[in-house]
Amino acid sequence: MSDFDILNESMANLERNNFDDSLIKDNKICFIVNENLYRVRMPNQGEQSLAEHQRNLEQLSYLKQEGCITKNQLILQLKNSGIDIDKLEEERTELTKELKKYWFLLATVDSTNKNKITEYSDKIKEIQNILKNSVMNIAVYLSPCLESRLESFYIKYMTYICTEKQVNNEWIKVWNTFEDFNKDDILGNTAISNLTWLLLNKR
Amino acid sequence: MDIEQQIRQLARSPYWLNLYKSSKEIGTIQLFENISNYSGLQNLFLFWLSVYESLYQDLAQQEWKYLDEKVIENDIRTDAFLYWRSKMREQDLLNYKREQKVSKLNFKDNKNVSTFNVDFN
Repeated sequence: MSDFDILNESMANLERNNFDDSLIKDNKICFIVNENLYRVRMPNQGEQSLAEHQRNLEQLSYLKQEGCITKNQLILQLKNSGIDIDKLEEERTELTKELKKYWFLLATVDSTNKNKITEYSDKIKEIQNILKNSVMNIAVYLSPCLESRLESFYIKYMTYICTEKQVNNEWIKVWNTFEDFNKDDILGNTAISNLTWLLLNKR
Repeated sequence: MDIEQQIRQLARSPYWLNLYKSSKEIGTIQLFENISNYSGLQNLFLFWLSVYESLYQDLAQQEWKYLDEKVIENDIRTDAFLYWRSKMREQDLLNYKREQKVSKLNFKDNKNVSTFNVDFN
């Protein structure tokens, strides 16, 4: 499953959930896979340090691997094959300016002027959708680089540590080893999606 | 409805806004079951609680011509208003600084003075 698919599935999963305040009442998210109840929880400081340590070790290992490429090197390579990330970023900046222009126009429309509100709101939605796709496309283009791989490793490692299953009213760790986690595709991906949401903006 | 829309809907609900206000006034009231190590979603929720609290305060004080209940209930219009309000406040601050500059200069008639920046380089 590509990063793009995981991200899309993660968004769809949460949107499908009948949202109530359970997602914000505490720092955990519960989910069901194959009729079993699981949860992801926020890591404590010790677990964060452990995941960072493992990420550093992984970095050393990646650097020795053939084909290891940094973000800047990848941007250069992509440019040579016709994908200009800097240009895409510039387009995003321009779109953001356009978005602000429409925000300004919409903010000064009276609530009785429904036609103008609809016109500007539709334009804003359109720009925001283009921006969202642009961000996701850039993330996919850059996913093979060292920085993205390390970020992905960190989230996976954190998921391995912080996913628990309810057994006889007790929460127990799901996977004994990181290798076990890597083999468990379906549950692993669902847990990654939920942990990504839980950590939202905290990385 | 996406996750942020749902979080915003909760954050502008009277129940959560009142709880938020009370928790600031009475230290013993807790918003969440956990008292530390907030999740990203909880932080996002706290952010929107503070935004909606400020919007309802502005609405009560009738501070802005274009702010009404319908704006607050609509996410896109709220975003637009927040951007516009930040620009208006920036402009007010700029005007205030300009006035302060003028008042520090010892002119006979301050009202008929204009200032401008000069680049001497």
